[in-house]
Amino acid sequence: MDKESSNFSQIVLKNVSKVFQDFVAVDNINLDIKKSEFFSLLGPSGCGKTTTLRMIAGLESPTSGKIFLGGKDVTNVPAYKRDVNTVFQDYAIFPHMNVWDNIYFPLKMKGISKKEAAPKIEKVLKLVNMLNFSNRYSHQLSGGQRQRIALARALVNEPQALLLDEPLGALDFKLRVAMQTVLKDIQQELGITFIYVTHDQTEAITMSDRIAVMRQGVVDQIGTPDEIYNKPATPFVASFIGEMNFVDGKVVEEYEDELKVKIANNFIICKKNNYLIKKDDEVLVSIRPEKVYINPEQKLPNQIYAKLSRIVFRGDNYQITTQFDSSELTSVVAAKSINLNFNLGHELRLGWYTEDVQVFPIQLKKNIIKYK
Amino acid sequence: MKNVKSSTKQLAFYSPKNINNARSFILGIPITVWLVLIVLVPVLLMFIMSFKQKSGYEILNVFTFNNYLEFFKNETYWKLLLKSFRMAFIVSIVAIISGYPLAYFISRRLRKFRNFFYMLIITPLWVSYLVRIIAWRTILGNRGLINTALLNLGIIKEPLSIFLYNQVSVVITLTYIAIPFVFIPLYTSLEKIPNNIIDAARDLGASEFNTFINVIFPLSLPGLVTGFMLSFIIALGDYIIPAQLGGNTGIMYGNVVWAQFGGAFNWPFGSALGFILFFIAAIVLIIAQIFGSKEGIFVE
Repeated sequence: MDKESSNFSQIVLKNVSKVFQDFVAVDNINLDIKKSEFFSLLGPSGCGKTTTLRMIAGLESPTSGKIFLGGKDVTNVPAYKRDVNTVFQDYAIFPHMNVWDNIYFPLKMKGISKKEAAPKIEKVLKLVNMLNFSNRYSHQLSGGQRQRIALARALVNEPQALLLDEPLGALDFKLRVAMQTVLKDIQQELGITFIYVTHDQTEAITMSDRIAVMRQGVVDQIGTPDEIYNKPATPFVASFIGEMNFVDGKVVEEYEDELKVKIANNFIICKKNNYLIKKDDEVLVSIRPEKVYINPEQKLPNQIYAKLSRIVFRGDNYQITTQFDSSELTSVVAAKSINLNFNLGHELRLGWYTEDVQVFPIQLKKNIIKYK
Repeated sequence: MKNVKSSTKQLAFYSPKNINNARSFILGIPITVWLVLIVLVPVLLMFIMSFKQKSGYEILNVFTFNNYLEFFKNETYWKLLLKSFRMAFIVSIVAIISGYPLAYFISRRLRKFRNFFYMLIITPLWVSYLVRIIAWRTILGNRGLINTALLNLGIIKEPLSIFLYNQVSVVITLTYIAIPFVFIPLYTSLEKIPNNIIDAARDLGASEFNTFINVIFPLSLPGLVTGFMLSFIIALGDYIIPAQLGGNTGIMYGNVVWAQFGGAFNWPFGSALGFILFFIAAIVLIIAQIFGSKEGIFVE
């Protein structure tokens, strides 16, 4: 962490907003992206992540705020003079040029001759493993191959930062996973800053050094994948990333750095956080399913009893749903680790550690993402 | 077992694929009949006619190459054909030069009122061809708009006659007629270019000008070639504009063909002249097509 924060700021956004007619796409966001960082902008569609990326690229100009690239203010610098390149969502390969000419294009714009360009083009083609495709046209390539060419074309100028706008969105699952590795390897090999826009939380978590989670034009949280996953700052982040249990409760006791919360007829202990939560406040409590242990051997700090209501086998794990009063708790346990000789309705003892629970003001409940 | 086999055969016949084939066959009948009756048969009749012989006021049912030989023997005809080609070429080039910026501006620069301007340019097509031609006579004539304006401004003392009844007036009017036909395919091909292709060009370091030269223009070529061909065909075969505005020097090949069918009453010779035009124009258009078919234009 210290190493990163001492690093040079590659891209800085200061109070950047973008308003389209009467729609606020990006609302006063601040980002500080470090050199050689793999930085993701994560959020559901319409959250402003692509607009943010386009403003960094220069394809959109901010309504207010400033954008710095390598320490220089580039807010009013047009896209073609900015030292960043973009991999577009549907690749935007020029259909009237073959692969070689596509990759030569950015070099040609810099006035580099074909002869000088040839070794550079060969190098990037080798990097994306497409050396034998230089004479092909876009319509003769598969989705994954177009993706690689778009990547090569954006990298050939060795930009200060590479911007990727949902580059894997159009690919099928297996290819997407394979391309994730390719992208990550290339990023590490070249040490170029990557800004990666995605709505796929798994993608963001597995590839990024840091993630900014966006919601309706604002950044809810910026942090490492670990922080985002284990210490979500808002119920929105908590619900958007991975699976999450949410339970309503009420604070009954306030201690120095802990809160005692009543959920239904049970009492649990939560760690205090940045929110101002006092005694008698209504709260929203969240816990990851895999952090809820079923019939734990030792006694855990938090324990409740609940009735088994559903078991779903998901290959490598079981999803076990239990009910207590009107609330529901889901837990996930590894398939091999548990003996499930219970009937539905059987009473189970659920337990978890205090630090695995997040507590939020009840007002934020409306931001929870519900998938239906 | 036999029964099962035959029933699967039956099923195969009624499979959606076959039904689709049958349907597209039936749907294709009207257009095929239309093409054969309206296009193919008349051309064929004209082709047959071109080998017959006129004698007095009769057309003899003989087979002869005399009509074609006459064209090559008499230099008036092929010189006039060359001149018509030259004029049609000039008209098409001028129409493209003036239509391209228009199509580019309306399709890619305008955000609002795009359809309005599109319709505005198409509107003249709804006005009678003859009316539009006569309109140009009043603009270019001795007491026309241009001369009156120049006289009133004191630039000239006598009306100029250089505007009307010559090649220039024919080229101007033909160009005016051709512009919508150039505009429509150009507009369509320009509008079809995805925005992210333009974004990509800008992002990769291309200025506005370079984006146009390297990306927009090459991608609009199919529309440009189509526009050129349409305009070329319209200008090459026209005989009304030369007759109305051409005077002695503005006469075109179409007038001669027309004269054979009208005043001269020599249908076989007119057919031969017409077929020669048809044949040479087809060759030019095929060449244009080959030139215009660039690799990788947007295919769905």
